[in-house]
Amino acid sequence: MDDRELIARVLAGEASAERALYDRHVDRVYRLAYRLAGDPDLAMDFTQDTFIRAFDRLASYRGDAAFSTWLTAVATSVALNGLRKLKRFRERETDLEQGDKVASKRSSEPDLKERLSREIDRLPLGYRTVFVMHDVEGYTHEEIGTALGVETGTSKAQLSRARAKLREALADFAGEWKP
Amino acid sequence: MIDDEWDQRLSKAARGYHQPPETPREEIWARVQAGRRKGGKAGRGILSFRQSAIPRFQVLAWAAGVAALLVIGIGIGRLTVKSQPMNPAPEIVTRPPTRQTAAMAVAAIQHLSRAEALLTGFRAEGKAAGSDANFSASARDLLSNTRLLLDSPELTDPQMRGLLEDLELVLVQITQLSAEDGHGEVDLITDGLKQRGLLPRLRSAIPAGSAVPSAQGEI
Repeated sequence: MDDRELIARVLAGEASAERALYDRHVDRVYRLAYRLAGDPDLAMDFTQDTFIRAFDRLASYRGDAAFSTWLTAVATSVALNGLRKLKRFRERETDLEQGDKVASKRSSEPDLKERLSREIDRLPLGYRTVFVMHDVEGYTHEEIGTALGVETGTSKAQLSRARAKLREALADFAGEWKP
Repeated sequence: MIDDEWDQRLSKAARGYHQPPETPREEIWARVQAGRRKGGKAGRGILSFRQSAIPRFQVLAWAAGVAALLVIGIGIGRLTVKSQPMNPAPEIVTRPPTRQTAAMAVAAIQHLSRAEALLTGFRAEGKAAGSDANFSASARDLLSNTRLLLDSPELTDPQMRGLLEDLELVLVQITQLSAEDGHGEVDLITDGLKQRGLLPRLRSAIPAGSAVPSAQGEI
């Protein structure tokens, strides 16, 4: 049974179809939510909100794009809104103590993977989203463009800038990456 | 090194970034079901509640709006009395507030947004939250507004009252966090948050898109 048929059954009120649709897509949504949030509770919240919103708006899905693409658009919207709220809160609460924490983290240089993770975390949310979707989760620029509501070229440009920032931030590791 | 090589190696190394664990399917499904049940009448889903949230808060904010208008009115009245002593009290006090009411509704929604941000941050910080005085200070700040909303005679929606009461309880717990045994208390608070489903309920009560840029806002 394909997604369209499942969706028709969900809209007709068939509870088992709802669960089947959820089972088919939840891993992809959770993976993306986790990659963006980096926290199990937040990832669960984002996944939950994504499906609640998606089921509620299912009637508005016109089928222009694949259901997975439509669902990814809902998921990224939920996750980015949630992360922005969290960022705003943390910015409000930032104090001198946090500055000390950052300084101490910098002083003890971690290995490449740890450092890379930290530098990805530091990317602006827009850059990070495109980088994670493309380079980490393997979405195409077309899928990213649809999910984020931007042109494919914008997605490519964002990815290029994200990589450039990472290259710059990790320049001291360049030697270790030489073949 | 050539940029392309860099990018390939970067991309390969980045695959371990925030490596997701196995999806907790059943737990999320249970929460989706619970969220949809709470979200609207006859299982209509969360959006119907969100769509009705602004009118609900317009009613809720009415009393607070009137109170604010009284203060403004008294201020204007005093100024007016000084310059034109023969005039009666300003009529603005008795006019039905419109813009002000809308402004108060926005303020109420912002209150819930701030509460959600605080609780999300609190939970994300984990045990470290116990020793962070900023959380208790912010909770104290939110607590007074929560009480104002709860005391409003226009608050007739039992669902909203329940949400605000649960929020108040959690905020009180956060304000009373002690530096000595903060870690144990944080666990109790986060357990309580989960059991009451407070964060999803707060998110449901905040209209979609309120004070939040679009998905591509920063791109």
